[in-house]
Amino acid sequence: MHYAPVIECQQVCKTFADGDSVIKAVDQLDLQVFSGEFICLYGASGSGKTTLLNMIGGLDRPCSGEVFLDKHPLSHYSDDALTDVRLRKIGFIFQSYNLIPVFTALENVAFIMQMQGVDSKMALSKSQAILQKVGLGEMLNRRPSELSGGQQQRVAIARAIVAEPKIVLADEPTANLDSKNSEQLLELMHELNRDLGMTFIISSHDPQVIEAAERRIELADGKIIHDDSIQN
Amino acid sequence: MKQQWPIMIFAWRNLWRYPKRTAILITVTVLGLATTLFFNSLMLSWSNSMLDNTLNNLGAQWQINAPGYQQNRDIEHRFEFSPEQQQALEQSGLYWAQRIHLPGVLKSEYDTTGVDFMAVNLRNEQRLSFIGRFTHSYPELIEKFDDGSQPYQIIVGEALLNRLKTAVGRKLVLMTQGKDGKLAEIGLRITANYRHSDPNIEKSMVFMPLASAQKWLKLPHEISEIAVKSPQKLSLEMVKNANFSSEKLRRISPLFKEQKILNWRELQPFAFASIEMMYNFNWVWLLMIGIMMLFAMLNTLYMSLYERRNELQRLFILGLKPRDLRRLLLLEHLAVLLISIIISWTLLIALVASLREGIDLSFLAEGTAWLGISHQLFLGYDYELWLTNTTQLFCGLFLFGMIPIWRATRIQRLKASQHTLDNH
Repeated sequence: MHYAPVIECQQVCKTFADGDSVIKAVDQLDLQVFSGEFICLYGASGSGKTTLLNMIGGLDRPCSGEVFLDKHPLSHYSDDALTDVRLRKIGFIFQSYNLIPVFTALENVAFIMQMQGVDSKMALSKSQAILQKVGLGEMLNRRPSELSGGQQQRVAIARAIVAEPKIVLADEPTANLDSKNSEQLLELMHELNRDLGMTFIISSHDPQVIEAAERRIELADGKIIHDDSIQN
Repeated sequence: MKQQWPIMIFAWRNLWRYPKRTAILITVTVLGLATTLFFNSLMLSWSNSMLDNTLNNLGAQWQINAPGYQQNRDIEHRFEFSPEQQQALEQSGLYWAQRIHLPGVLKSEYDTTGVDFMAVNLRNEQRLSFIGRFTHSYPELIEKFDDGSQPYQIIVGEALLNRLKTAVGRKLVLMTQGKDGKLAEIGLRITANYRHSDPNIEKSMVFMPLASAQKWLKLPHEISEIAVKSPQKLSLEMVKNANFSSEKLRRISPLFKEQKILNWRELQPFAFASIEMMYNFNWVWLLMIGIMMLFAMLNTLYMSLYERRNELQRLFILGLKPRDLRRLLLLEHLAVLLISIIISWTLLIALVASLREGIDLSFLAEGTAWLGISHQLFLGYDYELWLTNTTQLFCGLFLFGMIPIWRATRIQRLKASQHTLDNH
């Protein structure tokens, strides 16, 4: 079912200076992510999960090695072009939802499409459909402050997938949710992954998330120490 | 344009997201702008009043004198007013009046005081000076004054009447230096008294018929000055202008080769300096208020943008380019300024309307008299001045406001990720 890697990391290194010492956040890491995968990156704090996620999302550049998105090396993109790549090809889900407080749920979702230049009517109708799919059809006109944490995260997921990105990067998406809401959210992400064929890369400490992932990648000291796909 | 609309909605709603902060920003801008506009209107009206008073207090816009008269206003500095000159002035279309203007001493049975006596023709003065305007409603007085049927008469100020403890109908003795260098004196009956906003003028200026004075002083065709005024209503800006001149006057000026033609600026250097100082003070005031507003606004802007730093970075991660973020913040900034301008102008228009009866400065009577302005100041709808000042402040605030906006949207990718992904 998986054919070409949508993301490929080749010998990716990222180091940070900490006073006189140099910290290797990611150390010569190789990774291939295929279209439609549902991946969980896990590992102790400081293992390099977020740094890797940042480099995949074009928010950080590796010191050496290369990250390819759809076979295109990200290092070849300018900052502006990378912003465009994020707008069109990558969906982000944050731990703290990060919805725009002055917009309703519907407007929050439609905003990204409108910024892509999609006609407002079309953006709103598509956003409405997505919100219905994530179970918020009745709360289209509510502002984030009128929604629960779980509902806000659903809006954030709707926002991440509405523009049909190639991949969705989620950083600790369940960290602020109780177990019931976390379970519902994971079910939703699975459903979207199955139905829409989107690739999900989730960074998490949450055992529930790790358990639910199709492919689990454990990181330690910037290296992959366990990868289900290699194991299998 | 498709992308602009949601950003505009976003900016507008953001404005009301922190209503207190927006209210502070608007209040600061409204206070600064409205005070500046009001103060500058007041200054303009003050300057106009000073100018009107100066021109009406016998100064006129131009004066033709014998050389040296401005330095030494005595009988020696007189000139012959030829029929050719008179004809040229009559045909010029300018308003003009010939006068004898000399220092003198006025004596009543109780007191003696130094005065400025002016021998005039009231009909000619009507369009030129306050005395002409004052006597305008008394045609009988003008007739008797100008046609020589009652030659030995004098018009004095109310304050002078009180000082000399005399009254209309009684006699006064006027003394001055005659052309032979000896003291000349004449007995004159008070036919009228006048009122003036400046008590000093009331106390010092007295008027007698020109023909009588010429006869008394044996100066049949000689005068001290010709006051000239353009029929066109001159604005403060025009009069203040260094190139203030009249084509009509220039055309007849060859006939006055022997005399000096001085303009208002040369005749009233103190008034001119005061008006110019006020104009410059307007600028200083504008600058001061502008700087204070700038500090308050930049401080609030920096604070609000610092608080919104994470939000801006998250938007950047979601795919909004720095230029989109800049557009968003500039629209918010622009909206604050435009709302402030609308409120300021509304307040100002209401304020000027409420002061249409004038601002009564009679409690500052001595001061206003010294400055040469009237007791009542009338504010006008000085749209041109308001627009200029508003544009200047708007440009300053808008341009300087771009600094924090520019800085807030110079987002580095890694910093953005650190502030959003790691910190949670």
